[in-house]
Amino acid sequence: MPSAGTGAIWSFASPKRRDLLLGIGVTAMIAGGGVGTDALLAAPTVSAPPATFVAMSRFVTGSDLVDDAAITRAWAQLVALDAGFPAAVAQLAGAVDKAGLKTMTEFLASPLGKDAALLNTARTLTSAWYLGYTGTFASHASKDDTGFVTFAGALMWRPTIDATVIPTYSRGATDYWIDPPAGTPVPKGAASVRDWRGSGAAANSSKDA
Amino acid sequence: MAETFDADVIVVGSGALGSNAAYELAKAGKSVIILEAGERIPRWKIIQNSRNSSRRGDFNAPYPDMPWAHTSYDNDYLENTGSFDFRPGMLKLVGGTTWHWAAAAWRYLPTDMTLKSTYGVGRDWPISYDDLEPYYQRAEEALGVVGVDAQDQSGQNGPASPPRSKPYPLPAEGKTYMFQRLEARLSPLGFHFIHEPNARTTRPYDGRPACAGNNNCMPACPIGAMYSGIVHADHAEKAGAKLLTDATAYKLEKGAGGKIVAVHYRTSKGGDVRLTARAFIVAAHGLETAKLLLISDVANSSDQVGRNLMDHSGIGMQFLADEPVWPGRGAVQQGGIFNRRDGEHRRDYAAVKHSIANNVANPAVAARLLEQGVLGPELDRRIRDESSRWVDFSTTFEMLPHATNRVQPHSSKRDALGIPTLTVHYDVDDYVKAARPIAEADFHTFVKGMNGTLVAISPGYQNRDHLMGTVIMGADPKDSVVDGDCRTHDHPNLFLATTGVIPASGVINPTLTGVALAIRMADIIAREV
Repeated sequence: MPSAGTGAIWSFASPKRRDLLLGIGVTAMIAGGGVGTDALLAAPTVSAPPATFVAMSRFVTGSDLVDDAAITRAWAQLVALDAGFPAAVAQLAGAVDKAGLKTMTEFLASPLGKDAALLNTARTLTSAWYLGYTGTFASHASKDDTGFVTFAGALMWRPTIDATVIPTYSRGATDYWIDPPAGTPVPKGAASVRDWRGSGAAANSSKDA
Repeated sequence: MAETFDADVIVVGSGALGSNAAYELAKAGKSVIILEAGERIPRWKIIQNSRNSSRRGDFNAPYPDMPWAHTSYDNDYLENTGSFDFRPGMLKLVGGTTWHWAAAAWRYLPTDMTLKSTYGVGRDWPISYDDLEPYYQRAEEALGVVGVDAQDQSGQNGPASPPRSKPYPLPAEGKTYMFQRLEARLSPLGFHFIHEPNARTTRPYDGRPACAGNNNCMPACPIGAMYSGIVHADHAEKAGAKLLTDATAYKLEKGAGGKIVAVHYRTSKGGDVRLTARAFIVAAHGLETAKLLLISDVANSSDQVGRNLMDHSGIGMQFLADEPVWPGRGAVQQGGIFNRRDGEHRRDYAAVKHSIANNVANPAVAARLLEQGVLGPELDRRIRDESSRWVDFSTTFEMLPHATNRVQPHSSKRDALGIPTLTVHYDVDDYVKAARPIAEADFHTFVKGMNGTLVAISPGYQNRDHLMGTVIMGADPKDSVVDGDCRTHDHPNLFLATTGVIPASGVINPTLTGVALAIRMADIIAREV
């Protein structure tokens, strides 16, 4: 698989989880569908992302976002979707700075966490980095206003990376899925049957639904 | 002077059905030409496109959508006039639409094929299950199908069914932990859990590796463990078939004695080509096959071409179980609950299949939490918790054939080649609607049985991409397009390799049946040309 990998775009405090992701690259070729980056790459007028965008992206996600190409894509697409986005980011950065907040936990507990405009900006940023795309997905259509940010670097994979794969990648051998992830509590009540059985007398059904 | 032909057989379409027919004919020593509207795309490129798409939920997105070879999600190409937005995933490239499917490889039940005589609704097939059984076996061997021989796939908890002459070619994959947990808690309530026979190999088979659980069957298997039509497109070429890409068939030419004498195709480069053959197979998808017949004015003395369109229009339900079940480990689906696949209720309402999806849940869970406004460290905590407890049912209903549900060439729109685009009129019928409350009652029982929290039951109906009925099979030329051999009633050398021939939809994915019919047809043609 050819891959112009730049590595995962975020890094963890936990080296264990980071190790799990070694070798997972973010390919640089862009597929069709949404607004995408074909147009972006051909558009020399797109301004470089301001430091406040990077800082607020890191602030709302609590992650050390390091993929410059993804940052550039996200910024350009969010500005294209909403001309007021640069001002909204500046407003969020100014408010956070003025209040001296260091984390999203502090932000959400502060009066700023009740400000609808600031929350909306935080959600827009979070959505781009967690879902890995900007815009709104339209199913059963060939076009919408979405734009690619990152795939393997999307932060939504991070909380379960020890238990489930990032789709397209694999981990473990055939049938690894028979067992639950390590650390899963043994369920109370009805016991699992691991092997496939025939129907009729061998089945563990007791009555008709 | 003896008449000469460009080929013994020309096959229009290089998907799973057309390629299996082409391979069988090439193996039998026949000269075969395959026409494919799209191009050949390597697997690595499709996966790269998939990873770099902003539209991961669109399974057509990684594939080419060309002005001369459209996919079905292009609203300019497929227009709907009915109450339902009929929009099945459809691709145009070498290998066809089985590049993205979940490889479900079911056989119909004998009762599915005698629906009218058994339950008094719909239509009977003109051939029996016994006629098809040997070809089901060959199709399973071609696709590398894995399964559990001893299960009653009718969902009635009886002896193994439907009947098999031989065991499945490969053993079933291991049962996922999620399937184990749902079965452990819901089967005591009377629900019968059935493994889904599927074309994902469990050990190396025909050049394919064993499934490693990449959880990406749709939009594409990254490692080729899952069967796709590309397998037999390649086999057909190696056996001597000539495969032409960028070749969109737009006319079947009639000749003396009711025979088809030529197919005309057009390329994006501007060329028109006429090819002759002794026999023709149209294997161009359930929508496009009917369109080609209609714009060619062939095979339609019954006025049934394009009519009787059926999908297993379905509904979905998600809930959070009270324990971690961890969807997303393994392939994207593994089976489900089949109590209502067969039974006397089919006199009154549709058969029902409850499939259990096994996608990695993070995209759905994260999007939902963001909509709820969850931010900060709480977002990570809840993604982990809810992704571990997410249960997603995908339910399908049996549909009956209706002449008013139809695909037609568009009256005015043309693609880049000047060929009419598609118009579909589709309404979900009362047979399906009568089954919906039964299915929804099951949903609530599932949720209660898992002490869960309902997330959503989908409104309206969903596409299931199972095209049937558009060139319907039957014994009577007055009300059907092909006979039991998939030969058109009107033209003795024109055969149709498409699930569009299926006259009674049952409730299972029809691809394996389509391949079985294609292999059977190839045997017949090989004897005749």
